[in-house]
Amino acid sequence: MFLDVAVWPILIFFGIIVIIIVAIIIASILIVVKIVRKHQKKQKALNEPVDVIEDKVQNE
Amino acid sequence: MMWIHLLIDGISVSTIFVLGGNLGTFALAVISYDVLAFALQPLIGIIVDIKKIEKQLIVIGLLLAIIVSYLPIPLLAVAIVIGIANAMVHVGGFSVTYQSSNNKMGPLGLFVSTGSIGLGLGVLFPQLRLAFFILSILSVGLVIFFYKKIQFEGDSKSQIKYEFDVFPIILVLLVVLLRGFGGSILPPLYVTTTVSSFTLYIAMFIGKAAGGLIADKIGITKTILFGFVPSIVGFVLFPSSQVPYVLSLILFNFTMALTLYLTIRSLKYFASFAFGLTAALLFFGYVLASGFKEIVIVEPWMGAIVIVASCAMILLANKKIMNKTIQGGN
Repeated sequence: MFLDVAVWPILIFFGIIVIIIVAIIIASILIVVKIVRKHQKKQKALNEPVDVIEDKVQNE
Repeated sequence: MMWIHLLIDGISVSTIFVLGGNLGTFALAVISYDVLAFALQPLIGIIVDIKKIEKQLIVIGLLLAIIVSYLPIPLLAVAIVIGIANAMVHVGGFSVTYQSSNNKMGPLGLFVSTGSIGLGLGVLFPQLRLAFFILSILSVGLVIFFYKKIQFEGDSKSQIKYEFDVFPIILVLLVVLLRGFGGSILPPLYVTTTVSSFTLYIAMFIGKAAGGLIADKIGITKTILFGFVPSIVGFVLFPSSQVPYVLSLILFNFTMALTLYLTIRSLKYFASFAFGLTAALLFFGYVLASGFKEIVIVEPWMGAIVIVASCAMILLANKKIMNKTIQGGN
């Protein structure tokens, strides 16, 4: 074993903290990505030409 | 907002240090406080960017900290509530500062700088808790009094165009992570007293405040090359001498406002989230360094690598980000 046994509990403790922080950071990034995608979809729908919408309505 | 930042850090840290307790509980309380105060900021930042509730967060956060600081409840509960309150005030205060900053780095640096003084006073002189308590009550009153004057016009939703360049964002965030890491693996090697420790907090305050103001005058590139890079000298060659070390600490903190500014520019419309993300990554770097120090003997040259790598990444990120924008940089 390359490390002193006494160091392991400390490293595990730091590991848990790291996992918590990383999880929160990733969650926040995913939320932002979701918001951006939702907004982009809305914008795309708003910018869609009228004739395309009419075609869609007719097809339905 | 600088004042509010100083107060929230002061009252938070002094309360935890005054309550104390046995070593295990105290350590758990400090860690819980730090994790909540830093890691929650990106999530709160998103709420602020969308709902625009920065003023409410400042008032509620400060009130929470004031109430909890003298409540007879267990230390861990105090630490948890104060951690959440701290994150709320930080993000709220930053949002108000940013919206009145007129795209300058100076105000951003000034806002983040006073946290060092609050932290230093809270850690080294926790008996100041009562003073922080009284001043916080007065400041909540002031914020409520000027509530309507703190009003900003946001972009209408239809005007918003989200365009993100991921590579420079990653570069800047890596610099922030390295600063948290480097700041922790580069402690002074001279014997510290209360006064010399407080000098370190003052140095951080000066560095953070000056970095933004100088960069507004001479640009990011010159500030990095003539400010940040020379910090190697004190850290690597004279870690045992107080004056060179303190000077290097001032220069090392120059990047605080710069990285914050670059992250905000890259994540436009999500400024508070950008601020929260830098805070969370700074703390993440600090935690990584704490674990790193348990398994590796830290040498001063490691600090030099951190500074050189940070310098290269921040210059590259600045070039990429400023190519896309008009203001700032050089």
